[in-house]
Amino acid sequence: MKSTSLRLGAGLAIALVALFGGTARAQLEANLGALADENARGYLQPLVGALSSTLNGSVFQTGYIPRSGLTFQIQANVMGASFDDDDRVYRPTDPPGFQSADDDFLAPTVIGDTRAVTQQGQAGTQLFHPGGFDLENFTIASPQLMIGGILGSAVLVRWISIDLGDADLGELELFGIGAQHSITQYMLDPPVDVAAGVMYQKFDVGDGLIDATTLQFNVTGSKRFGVIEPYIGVGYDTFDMSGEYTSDQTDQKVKVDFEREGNVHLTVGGRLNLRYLILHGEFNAAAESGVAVGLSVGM
Amino acid sequence: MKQLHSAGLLTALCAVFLTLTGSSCPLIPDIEEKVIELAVGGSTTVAFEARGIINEKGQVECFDLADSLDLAQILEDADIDSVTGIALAGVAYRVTRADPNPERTISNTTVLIRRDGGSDVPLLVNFEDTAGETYDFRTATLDPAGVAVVNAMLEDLLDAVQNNQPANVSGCVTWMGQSLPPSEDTNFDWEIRIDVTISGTITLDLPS
Repeated sequence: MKSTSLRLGAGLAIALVALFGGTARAQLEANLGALADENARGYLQPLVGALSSTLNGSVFQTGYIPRSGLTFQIQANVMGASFDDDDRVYRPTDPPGFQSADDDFLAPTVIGDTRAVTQQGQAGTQLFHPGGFDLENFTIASPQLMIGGILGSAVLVRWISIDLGDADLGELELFGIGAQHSITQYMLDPPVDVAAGVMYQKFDVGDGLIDATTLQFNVTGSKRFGVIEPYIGVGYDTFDMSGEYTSDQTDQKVKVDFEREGNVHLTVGGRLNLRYLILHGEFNAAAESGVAVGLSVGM
Repeated sequence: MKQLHSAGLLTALCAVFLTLTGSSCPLIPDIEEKVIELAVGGSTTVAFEARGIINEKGQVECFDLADSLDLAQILEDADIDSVTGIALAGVAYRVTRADPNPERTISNTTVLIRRDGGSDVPLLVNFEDTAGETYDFRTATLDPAGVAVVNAMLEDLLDAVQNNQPANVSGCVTWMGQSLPPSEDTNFDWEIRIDVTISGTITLDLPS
């Protein structure tokens, strides 16, 4: 158990920092600089679904919120999502100055093949499209604090801030705040515990390289069988993302806004409720499919 | 009741996920060394002025590609280990100061390019657009002969940078055309932007 936890923790830290931190982030910025804003949008598009799914995973894990009796939990959650093969390529548009000779051209996205591709243009011109980082999965980890038992309500807070190791690159920061309210307390002899919740999160990388916000509305139902507590969640995620980079051609800042996305979010999971320790694992079907696990300590 | 190990729970979850999706487990990423091929860009701009009442216009502007395109800095900023390609991506143009007459056009225009020691060859041909308003960069129609000259200069520039030697990549651009309507005072500025595309590799440790 210990070796798995260490490997998981190390792997997660490396994964999170490796994709958005240090040299990889610098290369992501370099690749974006070569792209017109339409193509930067196509290049980064897979991150929209991945971030939406992972950020909104492992938020609500129970329908049981006590009406009284203060409870608190400190959680460490890991959320992962897998990319579809369709996410690995996109169809670029011609930037000003370039006229393509191939209308049926596909270029790698940020999660696509690592090799750059060459698009032939008029009169012998060429345009290189950057390769991606060849990712099959997207993983994010976050601590979460839950304080509950106040009139059947609980407050949830997420926060993580990682220095990317270079003064010029800035930080990676995640902040979330939410609440959950027991519906069960209004019911007579309910068969299951039900709670409704909402969670707002903000995710930033560097100085505007990636800015994302998400809002989740959720209803979770669960039932305890001794220490085992299976749960099901139904919700709706909204997600906004923008990116900013410097164009190689104009040396100007380019802001890329992605269309707001909304996705139904279904969760099936289970908790193991020990006295001061809670373990949970779940499967999420949302913008992308993925799994999440977490470990909580508290009362 | 028997306590479930978190490792067992994680394994069970991954097994379920693998079964459902057929993909690798997203929670335990493997870190591996990957060679990533980047693409970066650069550009250089040549500016022209159109003045006077004579409607036949022309101007020669000379340039040094090594000065106007700091290739060494571009490669250093992107941390590129090895360059795999450099080429002319295209030429864009725009009017930067509009003529007082909104009906003014720049017409029947050819832009030639000449490398020092070489002959003039066409880069833009039969070019025509409005000069009575400013606008953002638009794509120009190119001639293969001019494209070949620029590509040869870029290859020589790259070679010089990689061997830490001075580059002999200077030349001149000449535009010849008409400002219409004729017999009226012309007063506008325009420019062409020569866009360069570069690909190169870098090695990173990334999750699988």
